[in-house]
Parts: sequence; C-alpha cells; structure tokens
Amino acid sequence: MMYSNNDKISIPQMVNISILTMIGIGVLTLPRRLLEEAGTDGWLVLILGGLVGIVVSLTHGYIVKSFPGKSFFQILSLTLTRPIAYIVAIYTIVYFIGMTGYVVRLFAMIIREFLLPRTPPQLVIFSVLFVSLYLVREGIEVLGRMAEVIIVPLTVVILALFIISWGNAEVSNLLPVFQTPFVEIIKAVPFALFSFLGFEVLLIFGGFVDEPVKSMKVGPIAIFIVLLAYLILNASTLATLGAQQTENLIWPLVGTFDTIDFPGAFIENVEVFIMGVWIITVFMTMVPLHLAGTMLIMELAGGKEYNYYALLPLPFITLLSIWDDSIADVYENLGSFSDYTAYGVVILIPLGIFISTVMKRRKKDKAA
Amino acid sequence: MGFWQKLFGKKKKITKQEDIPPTKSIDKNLEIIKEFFKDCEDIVYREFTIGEGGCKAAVIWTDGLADRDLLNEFILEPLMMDARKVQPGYKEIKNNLVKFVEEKTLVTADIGEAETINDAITQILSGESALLIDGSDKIIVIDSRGWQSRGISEPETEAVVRGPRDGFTETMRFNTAQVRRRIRDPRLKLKHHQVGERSKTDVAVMYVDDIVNKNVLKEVEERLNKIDIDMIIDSGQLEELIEDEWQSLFPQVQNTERPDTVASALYHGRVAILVDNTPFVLIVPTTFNMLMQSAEDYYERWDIATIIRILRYFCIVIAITAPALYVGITSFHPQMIPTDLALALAATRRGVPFPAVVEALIMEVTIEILREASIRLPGSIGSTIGIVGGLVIGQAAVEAGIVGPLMVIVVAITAIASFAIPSYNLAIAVRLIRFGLLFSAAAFGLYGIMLAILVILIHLCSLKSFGMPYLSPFITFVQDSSDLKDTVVRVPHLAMNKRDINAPKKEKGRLDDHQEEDFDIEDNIDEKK
Amino acid sequence: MRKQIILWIILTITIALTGCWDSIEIDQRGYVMSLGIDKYEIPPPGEVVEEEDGPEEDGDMEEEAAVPTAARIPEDSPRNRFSFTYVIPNVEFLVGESENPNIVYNTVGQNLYSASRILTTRLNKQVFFGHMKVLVIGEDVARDAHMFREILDAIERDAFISRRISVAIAPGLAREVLEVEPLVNPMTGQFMADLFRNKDRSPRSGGGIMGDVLQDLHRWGNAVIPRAIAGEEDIKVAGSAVIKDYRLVGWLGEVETRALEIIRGTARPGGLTVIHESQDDEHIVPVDLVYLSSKFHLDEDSDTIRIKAEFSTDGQVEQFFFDPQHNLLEPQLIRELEALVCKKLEKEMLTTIQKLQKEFQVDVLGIDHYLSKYHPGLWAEVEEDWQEIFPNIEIEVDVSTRIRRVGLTK
Repeated sequence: MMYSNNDKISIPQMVNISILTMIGIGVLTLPRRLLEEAGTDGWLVLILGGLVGIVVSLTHGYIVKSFPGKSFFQILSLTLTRPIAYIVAIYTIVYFIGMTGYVVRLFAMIIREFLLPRTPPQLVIFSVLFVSLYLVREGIEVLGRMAEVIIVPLTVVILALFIISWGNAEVSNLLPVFQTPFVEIIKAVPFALFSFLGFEVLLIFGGFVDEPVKSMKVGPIAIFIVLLAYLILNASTLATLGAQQTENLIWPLVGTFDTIDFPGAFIENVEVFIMGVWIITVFMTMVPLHLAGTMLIMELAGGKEYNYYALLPLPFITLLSIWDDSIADVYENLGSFSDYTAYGVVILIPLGIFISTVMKRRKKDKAA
Repeated sequence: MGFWQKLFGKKKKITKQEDIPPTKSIDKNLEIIKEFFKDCEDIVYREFTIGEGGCKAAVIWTDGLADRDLLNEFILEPLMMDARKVQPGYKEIKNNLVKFVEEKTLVTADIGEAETINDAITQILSGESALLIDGSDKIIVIDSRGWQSRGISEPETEAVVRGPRDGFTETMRFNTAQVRRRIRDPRLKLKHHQVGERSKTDVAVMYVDDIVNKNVLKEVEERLNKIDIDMIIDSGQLEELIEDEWQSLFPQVQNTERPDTVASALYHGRVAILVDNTPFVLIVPTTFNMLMQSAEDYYERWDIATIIRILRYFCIVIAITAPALYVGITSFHPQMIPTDLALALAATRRGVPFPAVVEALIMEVTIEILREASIRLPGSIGSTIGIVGGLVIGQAAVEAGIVGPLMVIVVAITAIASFAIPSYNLAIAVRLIRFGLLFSAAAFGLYGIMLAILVILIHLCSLKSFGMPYLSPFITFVQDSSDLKDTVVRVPHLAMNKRDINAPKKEKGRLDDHQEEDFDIEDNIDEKK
Repeated sequence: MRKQIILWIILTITIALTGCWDSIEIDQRGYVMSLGIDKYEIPPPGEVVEEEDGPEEDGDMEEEAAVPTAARIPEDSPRNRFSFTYVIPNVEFLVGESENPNIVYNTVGQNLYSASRILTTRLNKQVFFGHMKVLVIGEDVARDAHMFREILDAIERDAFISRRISVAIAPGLAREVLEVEPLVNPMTGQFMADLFRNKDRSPRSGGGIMGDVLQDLHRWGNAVIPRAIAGEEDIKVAGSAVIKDYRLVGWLGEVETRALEIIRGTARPGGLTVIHESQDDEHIVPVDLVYLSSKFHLDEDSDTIRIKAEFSTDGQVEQFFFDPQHNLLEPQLIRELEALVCKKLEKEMLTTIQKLQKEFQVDVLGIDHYLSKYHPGLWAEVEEDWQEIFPNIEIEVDVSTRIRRVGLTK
C-alpha cells in the first residue's frame, strides 16, 4: 500500500539504501586492492569478507529488531546508560562526517581527473554537497524512494556495460586460483570487510523501518547482492586487463571500460559515460552517510527540523575534504581514519549494545 | 495545509448576506427579489393569477438559462389554462393551494422548495425558475435548466485513433451523465459542492464507493471545503488550489477531456472532480506514470502499446536532456562521440561565433516563440507557419553561420519529442526544465547534467499527490510488483487482474473470485463444442 | 520560500555565467589523430631544419618549438630528447575548403607533456588527445629502453588517451610514416586507424592495440608491436617489432608474424598458399583459413620443460585448376591438401620459434603466460630465470587442418 506516513521506509527500500551506500568510491579501486592483498585469489577474500559482513550485519539487524521504532541514540541510552551514549553518539557522528568527507574528496578528485580537469575541485565539492543537502532536508522517506527508483536502471546499465566489456576478456586471466596461502587470505579479510562498509546505516535508519521484525533480513540481502556485484566487477576487470596491469592502475575499473570498443555505437569513449553513471552511485553513498550524521546531531541537540541541522555537518565535511593535498595523502590519511573509526562503529558499538541487551534480558528472565 | 490560511485567510472581508425568509405576501417577496436583481435585465418576472379567480402568482427565471418551452407548456399553461378547466376549483383548495400545485398541477420533472429568498436567488441564477404564490411563504423552485450549449465533440487535446470520440462539454450535468453511462453501478457516487464566494461554481466529486481509497476521498473533501476564493472559472484554478505542492513544476493532478479516461480511473479507485463550465475533469491522485499514459494504450494491442510507451519514456528523456547533452558533449567531452562525427561537427561549427550554450539558447528560444505564436495563429495557417518558420529559420540560421546544423537537428528532435508526451501540462514542465539542464551543462558539462538530473529525481521523489507518492509504483516495486504491469509496459488485459496502486489492498482483485474460470478461454470454447 | 528561490536563481546564474573552466568549443580543439615519436638527432651541419632556443627560461617555455621557417641549428641540449610529430586533421579539408588534409607539426622536447604545451604557442587551438587513434614510435626510441618506457608511461597515465589506440613501430623515423598522405584517404590518422581496424586483414601484423601491448609489457616487459612502413603514397602495416625488456631487439617478417599470431591465438582469418603436386602437374592452391584455437600443453613427465602446442584451423579452397579431370569432392585429395597446409604452417611456426628462441631469446609466444596460469608451481621455480630457460625449452608444434568448403566447382 502506497500511503505510507511520513518518515517510514519499507524493508526493500532499506535494502536498496544499504546496497547503494556500500557501492560507491571503493569499486574503482577494489580490483587493485584485492590483487595487492591476495593476488588472483581476491574473489576468495571477497566471499569471506562478505560472510563476515553478513554476520556483523545480523547483529545490527538484531539490535534494530529488539528496539522497534527506537532511534540509535535512544537504543544507546537504553543499553549503555546516558553519559556513555553521548560519547558513543559523538564518536559515531565523527565517523559519519569523516566518511562523508572522504567520499566527497575522492569524488571531487576523480571528477577532476576524468571530466573537469580545470574546474576548481572546491566547486565540485560545493555543488555536490548542495544537492546532497537538498536530499537530506527531504528526509529519510525521500531517500528510500530515491534508492528504489535508481537501483533498477542503474543495475541494468552497469550490467550491460560489463557484458559489453566481456568482449575483450580473457577468462584465463583469472587463473591461477588457490595459490595464496590461507593465512594471507585471512589477513586480507578485514580489508574485504571494509569494502562492504555502508551497511551500518541500518543502525541509524532502523528506527524508521516500517516492519522492524524483518530488519534482520536487510544486511544479509544487501551484502549478498553487493558481493555478487563485486565478484562480477572483480572478475571482469581481471579478465580484461590482466593481473599485472590491474595492479598498476589507480582506478582499474575505469580502465576496464576504456577497452570497450564497439564500432557503430554513438558513444566512442565509454569512460565518460561510466563516470556519469558513477556520479549517481557515489551520490547515493554520500547522502545516507550525510543523513545519518545529520540525524544523530539532530537528536543530540534535540531538534526536529532537518532543514538547519543538515547544514551543520557541511563545514566539517568541506574542511575534511579539502584537508589533504594530494591523492596519495587522501588514501593514506582519510582512508585510514575512516577505516579505524569504522571498527568502532561497525563492530564494537553494536557488540556493546548486543551484549548489554542480552544481559538485561537474562536479568529480566531471572527476575521473572 | 497551513498555507491556505496564509494565502487566503486574511481577506475575510466579504460579509455574508443574512438569510431572508420569504413572507406570505407575494408583493413583499417580489419586492425583495427585485431589489436583489436591480439592474439585472435578463431576469424575467411573469405575474399571473392561478385558475379562475385564483390568487396572484409569479414565475421568475433568468432569460437564456431556463428553457422557455418548458416554462410555457408545463408551468404557465397548467397553472393558467388547465386550472380553469378542471376540477377542483380554486375555492375548494384554497387552503392547501401550494401542496396541490406541487403535487397535481406542475408537470415538470423536478421541483423543490427554497427555504430562503437568498437560496431562491442562487437557484434562479443557476437556471431554475422560482414560483411564488400569494399567501404562501414557500418558494417553489422548478428545474427548468436549459441553456444553449456546445454539443459533444471530439476532445482535441487528447485525440485518439481508436477509442470513443466523445469528449466532455462545458455543462457539468452532461459530463456526469457521460461518466455514468460507462459505469452502471449503484456504487458510483456523486457529491456536489459549490466553490467560490461569488461564482458558486458547481463542483462534483465522483468515486466508486467500495474501491475508492477513503484517505484520498477524505482529503479531497477537506481540501475542497477549505477553498476560500471568490470565483472558479476553470478546473485549472481549482487544481492549483487543491494540489499538494503548488511551487512544483510538475502537475500533481491529471486533467482530461475524455469520459473513458475518467471512467477507467474511477474503476481503479481514483476520485474524479468535475467542475461546471469547463470540459476538463480533474482526476486524483495522480502519478508521473499516469501522465505518461494515453487512453489509446488500452484499446490498441498490448505489445504495440508497450513499445509505444517505452518510446514515450525515451521521448521525455530526449525532451529533457538533448540540448544539454549537445552542449555538454561538444564543449566539454568531445571524446565521447565518434571521431568522424566530432570532426564533422568541428568543421560545420567552424564559423559559429557563439559558444555552444548560446547557440542552443538561440535555437531553443526561437522554437519556443514559434510554438507560442502558432497557438494564436488561425488554425489553417498555424501549422503552415510552424513548419515554414521552423524550416526557414533553421536553414537561414545555419547559412548565416549563427548555429551549427546539428544544433538545428537537436532542437527539432527535442521539440518533436516533447509533443510525444501525452499530457500537455507535463510537456510544458519539461520545456522549462530543459533550460535548467542546459545551464548546468554549460557550467559543468556531463557532471552538471548528472547533478541536475539528481535534483529533478529528488524533487520527483519528494512529491506526493493526495498522499500518493508521485513516482509510485516505481518507488515500491518490490512489494507492489503487480503495479508495474501498467507502467512502462502494458501487459495484456487478461493479465491485468489487479486494480492499480490507487485501490486499497483488499479491493485489488478486479474479477474477485470468479477470475479462475474466466481465464481459461480455451476451456470455454471446448464446452461450447 | 521567496528568499530560497532568489538564492537558487542567483546561484544558478552565477555558476552558469562564470563556471565554464573546462568549456572549449568543439571547433576550438586540435584533434591529434596520430602522434609520432622519434629520438631527437642533431641534423648534419648545413642542413636547415629546426630551431632551438639557447637561453634557458622558466616554466613551459623551457622547451622550444621548432619553427620550420627559422633557420637555426639546434644544439644537442639535454632538453631536446624527443622529436614529436602531431598530425591534426584539417577540418577545412572536410568541408572542401582546403587542399591540405593534414596539419603536421613537429616539435622538439624533453617529454610529451611539455612538447604538447609548447605546441599551443604555434596553434590557435587546444591540443586534444581524446580522439587520438594511432601512435607511431620511431625505431630509435624503441631501441632505447629508458625513453621507450617514458613514452609508454606518459601514454598510459593520460586520462584522455584511450587504451584502444593502435600502436606501431616504424623502422627509421615515425615522422616519415606520418607525413605520407595516402591516396585512398589522405587523412593519415584516419587511414592508419582504419588499417588497424580492417577486419579482413591478413594476419601478417599483430593486433597492435595499446591496451594489449601495455598488458604484455606490464607482465614481463616483452611484447610484439606491428611495424609501419612508409611508402610513396601509402603506408603499410605488416610484420612486427619484438620488444624484450622494454627494448626493441629485432624485427619479424610478415610470414613470421603470421606464425607468431597463430601461436599466440590472436590471428585473424587469412590465407595460405600451398603447392599441390600430382603425378603430372603442379597446382598452386590458395586456402582461406580461420584459426580456431591454439593450446599449449606442458609435458609433465619430462625432466626438461617440454611444451606441446596444438592448433586447429578451418579452411576453404579458393583456387585449384581449370580442368574437369580434377575432383575436389574426393576426400583423398582434400586430405592431401590438408596435410600440405599443416606441413607448411608447422614449418613456418618452427622457424619463427627457432628465431625467437635462438636469435632474440625472448618469450613473446605466451608460454610464460600459460605456465603462470596453469602451472603456477612450476612457474614459481622458473620465473626468475625464464629469460635463460626459454631458449632451451622444447616446443613441439601440432597443427590440424580441416578443409570444409571448396567453393562452387568440383
């Protein structure tokens, strides 16, 4: 039924938001990073990382399910007492703002490289943040609809492009398999888990899901779909470019599409078109993170209107995004910053909530 | 809904006239009425006596709105002539004359009584006639409406090749009849409202009782009641007053001239709002998808209809983005187009002194001027001027070196594509959006186009029409996948066994329980054998 | 609300009016269709060629453009390392307003980027590589591993230069190839691009796609690149250059190139002519062949590395002899022809392999590739010394041919 009230999203919409949040900046570098970590056995790492991700996201889903309709901050206050809740919430805000800044910065950089070499990157940052602000002000419901509208055409276009790129693929490039020692694969799993970052938005948006009972499904479904997408992407890149070359390119995915050559088509160089499609996916990564940060800030401040609170993180995001000078610094500083804070938000905090919930439930059982 | 008060709440100056009850004296009543109708020379007062030696009476009507033949034959003749010829005489029924007249003398189809003089006046102005009888404080209102009206003709804005040719007219009653003819169901309900402090325009709300979405119906009633305005001339005004977001470029209410479209909408649980004096009927709630459909889609073969619908969506994309893409690609990313084309473009554009965006603006504005002008031009030469103007100006502009030849092609295709959008009000929105995209493409190339498309998408996602999200069913296609059957594709009618998004969930099945049998056409044939 | 609208309008207008940093009209760009790269050489004294700027200035002006009219002899300065040839199609020629199909610019410079920058001082257009089709590298550059690698990196790093451009190596100067105006299509860049793209082309030159060449070079620094030879009024792309350790080590002839392409499994359909001898006569029999597959097998039992290469082809007899006596429907005759084709192919391949193993000692056959994928264990042992091991491995060739069609006559 369509007549949903304000600020409610359906489970499929939540899944779509999660998928789009996960797929974004990382896809361009993913094949290279996987090669660096585990050679041609990267797919194994991906699958393991996806499995770990599914387990972690199950705890997220469980938390949302146990506190239907409650916001993240309310859950925190209920389980971890109020003072700790404040600290944890601020930490989470820092994480979301940091992630947004990271995404925005890389976005501006890649746009500059492929589309607008002379336009000041600050302008790209401002313009995309403005559009992001517009969507954040409209709230979670519009985000949910947006995700659902976008996902099908996006999938069709991307799949079509991949299928075209298979014309140049050499399947034997995927070989050899099972050559990397098992220990190294295990070591690479945390990295693979990070390429699935984004599913943690369920924690923040969980309070708006219309059927919280089903929220355990969200993470696994979303991660599974993203895993499939990543596997296709990784295999296509490897098959078209070969391992050694993939390792040498900063954004190998774009290189994959650069090999597409279909005479008679209206588009000659596909990579510009790819960037156009990619803008949408990155935008849909940025907005949920921005919105999640905004929501937490709003709740801490006790506000009700998105309009002004959505503006609050903007200066921080902008500052973060123009902090580093070179692309190498960005991947080094911002990248590792968001990686380390992510441990806390994705694993430690949910674990804390989970344990305290279980303990409280035990107590209750004993009392009863 | 707060902004209604903001907009119209302040000027609550018009003091409502007090209700004046009619008196027993006909002269007094006439005097009051005549005072109201001072300087209204199209009001006719016919004073006479009823029957042989009877009492004074008068009939009042508006000339041109009431049917004179009806007045002569069925009101004046019975009261004046027949009353003298037949029993009982005036004296016998002197005491309950009014009742006798109402029940036994007036042979018209519909009569009523007006409680107050003000009421009677409104009725007279709507084409009814008022009968005043001396000694009675009741005013009998006789339905004598019968004005000149345009006959039913083919709707011009929504012409179809195949399908019914009748369109709505300016008279609401004919319109409701046309809808009723298509829905022989007692559950089709019709409720009247009068909107407009002065115009007192009749507004009818039609819906099918058991399949309508009650929330929408409630919302419609509420919004209609909240309207505070002096007059409504066309449903366009009403549309703006009741729609959710009047700042938006996108129409959130569908309008149609076609009774079959209205009937089909009603069958799917939507609400139709008919306004007197206009052939355009409003249908709510409206989604983007509905504005992209034409009535003919349902009458043509389903596969062809599907392809045409896909074509239409393709057209709207062209109509929005084509000039922007031209600017973005030629001046930002020429590597996107094939080398031969790029070189040819560079060669033909060589002498053009303007940047691509100015070039595009010149041609776009020209075509908009042509389009606007051709509406004013008389029908016979309008199309000629359109074609000649387009061809001649395009050709001359290229030769003069103001624009490149490809630009002319782009602009022409864009203009044609925007005419492929079935709904005119959506098409004009698209025309405007195109310019926004053009500017953002001029600033940021493809990146600008993508940003602008995102803004449009966000806006579309945030819109609602009477509680229904504007982009449904695309935004919930996972749960409501059956609603997709009538969107970009149109599946065969046999497969469309569900009502669309408008109907409440429990009322979704169209053929309810007996659908199973109906579906096995082959079995039926076998049985006949 | 009103404030918001005004804000948006102002924002849109300012951005639209000011923001066109990247906007260059399509006719304002100079589309470099082909680029030639040569090593800079001091012209013999007395010959007036190019001008060179003595005093050093800062920034981009450091490299100096070669203005043909100025008569100064360039010194052998460390900045003048490359000589670049840009071929830009003349758009006026396209609309028939000019006689010259190409505008050819020569620039001397230290690297590609600054040479292109310096070109803008002589060209009223923006140099644009987005439509580049062909890269021709002069023999001297290719023979210098350091310079060759510089150029390769510059090409790969540039976001505008596609990976689909064709690359060729010219014996002699690249400039000479690019300055030819072919009769068929005088726009050299276009002509060469079409030449590379020609689907019906005989497999006498390698694919020459930049992306593939880069892929090969990234692996172990070995590759084959097609050879482009300048003629009077045409350009020929045939034969290939063998690159070993990022350096040109020698040339393969056309027949050898074909054999190599078949071994690598990248050969496009092409013909082969065999001589059929019967009791009384000799017939020339051209056979059109489609190269179906090429497979390597490692002989695991042997102590040394033994590779067995298997190929299968599919053919059609194009010509026999105008004589009703013959019957090509006789299976026996077909078998004979097949055997002849196999023999000839095997011989060509073995010669080529021999040449690569003994003369160049470089593995461009793809055996390294095969081993690393299918026998990673063995590959890990030999990878380090592959350069030394390769010349000594045994390679067996086995071709199977099926002639399936004989045309319209018996």
